[in-house]
Amino acid sequence: MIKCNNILNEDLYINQLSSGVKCYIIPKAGYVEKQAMLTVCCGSADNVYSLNNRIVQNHEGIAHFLEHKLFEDKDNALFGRFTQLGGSVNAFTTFNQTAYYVSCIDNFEENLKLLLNFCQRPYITDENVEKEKGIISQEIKMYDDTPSWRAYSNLNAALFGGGALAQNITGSVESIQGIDSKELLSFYHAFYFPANMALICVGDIDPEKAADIAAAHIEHKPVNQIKRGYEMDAADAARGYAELSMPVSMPLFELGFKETDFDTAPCTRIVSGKLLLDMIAGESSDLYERMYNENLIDDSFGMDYLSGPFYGVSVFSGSSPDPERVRTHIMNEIGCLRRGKLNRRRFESIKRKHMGRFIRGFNNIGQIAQTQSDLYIKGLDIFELMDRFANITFDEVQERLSRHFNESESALSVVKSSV
Amino acid sequence: MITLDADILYKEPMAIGGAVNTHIIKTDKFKTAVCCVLIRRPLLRETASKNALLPGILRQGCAKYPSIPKINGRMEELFGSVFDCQIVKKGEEQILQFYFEGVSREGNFIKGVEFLKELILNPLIDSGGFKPDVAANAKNHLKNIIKGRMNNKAEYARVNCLAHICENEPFGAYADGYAEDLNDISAEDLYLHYKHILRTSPIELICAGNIDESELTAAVRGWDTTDRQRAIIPLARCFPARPAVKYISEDFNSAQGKLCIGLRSDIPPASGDFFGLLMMNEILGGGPGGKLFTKIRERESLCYYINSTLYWFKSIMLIQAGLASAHFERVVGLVNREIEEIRQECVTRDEWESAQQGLIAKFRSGQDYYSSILDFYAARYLLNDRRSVEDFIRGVEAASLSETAEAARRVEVDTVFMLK
Repeated sequence: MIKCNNILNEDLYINQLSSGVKCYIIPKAGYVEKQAMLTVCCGSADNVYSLNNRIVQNHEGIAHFLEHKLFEDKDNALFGRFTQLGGSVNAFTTFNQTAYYVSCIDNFEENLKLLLNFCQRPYITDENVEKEKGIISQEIKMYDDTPSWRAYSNLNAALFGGGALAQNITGSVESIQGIDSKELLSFYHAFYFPANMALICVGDIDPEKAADIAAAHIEHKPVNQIKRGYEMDAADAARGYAELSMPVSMPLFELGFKETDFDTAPCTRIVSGKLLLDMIAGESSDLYERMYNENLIDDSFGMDYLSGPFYGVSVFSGSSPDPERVRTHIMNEIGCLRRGKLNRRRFESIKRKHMGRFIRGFNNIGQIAQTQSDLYIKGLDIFELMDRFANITFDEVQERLSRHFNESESALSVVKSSV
Repeated sequence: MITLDADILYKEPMAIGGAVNTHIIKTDKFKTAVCCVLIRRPLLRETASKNALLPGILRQGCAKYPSIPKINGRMEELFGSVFDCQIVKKGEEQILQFYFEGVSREGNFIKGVEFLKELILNPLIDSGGFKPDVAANAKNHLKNIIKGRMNNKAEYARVNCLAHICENEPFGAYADGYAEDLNDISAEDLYLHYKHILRTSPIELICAGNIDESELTAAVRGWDTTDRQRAIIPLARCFPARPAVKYISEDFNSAQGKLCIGLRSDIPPASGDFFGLLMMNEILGGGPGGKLFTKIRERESLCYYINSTLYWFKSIMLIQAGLASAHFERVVGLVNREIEEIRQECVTRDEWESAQQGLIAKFRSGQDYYSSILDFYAARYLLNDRRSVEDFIRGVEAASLSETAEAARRVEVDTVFMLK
């Protein structure tokens, strides 16, 4: 299927191959760089799953550990092989996705084959698993030293109680010690099958050739009927406040509101979430100016709506001498907007902004691939999101305001200064 | 005015110089167009804080858009255009940079240029100075930024390592200013300072995108006043490392130690020998094919990240890694061993090809990003270096192992900064 978007003036080729893998191809004429991304619908929130009526409990950090280990091959030459083809390869893991990608200028087709190949041929031994523990431990400690990351992790822990989303994506230095090759391979075989994957290609490429390579190089595998851990989680009530101390010059905060409005379609949830956040406290709002002039916030203040298949969070974050006061301001503003102060003109202006920013995102090959990868997990494509930004109405956004941002489903996470 | 097609940056030496400071890089590849204004000052300890305060003031508004919401409301009207004003350190210049980027439709770009003009030329003033509350806000925010340097420990190690390497040179000054200076700077002084720098600084207006020259000419008319005297900013100089390595250790009780090794070379960026230095840096720590990654991360499992970066204007190389503090000495030893290997021409074919291809790919893929196009262009212009991207690619292709080893022999460790 070929989709065209008149606002973006771009095409999107969507194909479900017979193996079950979903292909999204976005040609970008005139660009030098090409990117292929293989996204597997599994991440840190899949630590616990059920397959064939058997509940499997993994060590925290298994999906991310597997991401590291797939780069292993028998002669330790995978990076070198990509280099010979002029490809630069990397990967990332989130709550719900593990994505492997290669960027190159030349030899796109060969790079794509190599990407598909290594993702389907794990070479995992107890020896190379042990070796990786030192590297991942250092990665974890790097995040441990990052105050904003700690504040965000703590927010998730507060919002999602003991559930899968409360855990760190990387696991902990302690939890990864128990991981072995057997556990990694069984996790791999549970989740890495074509119907649970998407291939995203962006750049000056031939869409049909790319799809043909995907068809020829992705093996058919049976579909596993996995029941995801987060579907089994009890809906824990949010714990209102969490804090920790670190050597920071000023406290950092993350204020999050858990999504409870799952009746609204995912695309509408995302778009209205982003627009509402901006209407509440974006840089053109009166609230932003008040907080800025009170020296309560600085340029680090920001907001975003983050979501996956079974969760969503609206987050305000930044540095502040008094995060509690920021929370009070934001709660008051939400109350005020709910009492009929949501402004139609401001809505149109913010909508125009988000459309412009979305169009700007199409300047960047990597950003297009990453956005589509993230949307695949939610069952969406990048044009659907663009269209929703273009046609969402004031009434829809107003309706959403009454269904989201509940104080009882919110939490404030603070990193206090220990110096 | 200098006009060139973006392709030319990649094919031919570009035209440089002339008294007029409007530069147009024509390309219709992107959805947006960019206007970047650089007000260039020499980086000096004495004036660093005054200059550093200016973005925080100007960002709060101008006569026509007198508040942050008004500025951002204007950006929303212009289809979510992006505006920023910040201090940028390029070599020994402290540049006050204004940036506008907006989608190319309905005259959006020219409106953006007009917006920048308002913001720069008609700031918010009150009886001969910047507005006192605006200046007070800016000072407070800058103080927090300066105090906040400690929040990002890898960045803290990087910035401080550079400051130690160049402790007696302009490059060692903090471009975002000094907290102890701020109390003594009044809103009136600062406004006089701003008027002075508008009158005496070289100002570059660099535009990129699908731009109509005549419209731009009309929009910028009146900017370049005739009574301006432009100061000449000396080019940064490159020096060899100090005779004995300086070791600095700071204790932050961090979960992970941050190591920053600073090396110096006297090979200037415009010289032909610089290609050897580029190759040496790439072979050592340019990516996953580099010696540091393969030997210290993959083989020894000692760290998650380790890489090296070359600072073109000063020919300074920084090697950064995150590791357990107990392994500092071991890793410094391993890094030294890898540098020595390059000096002895012990470079495998894979290492060589990986570095060469990696460098060429970086030069080529730069044309897909405005940030790289503007950086490359501005750096060439400021260095008075007429080479194109293709010239650099040819230089990398022609570099030999013996030149690379020779460059490696002309790089020495100057400072080792350890944050524990």
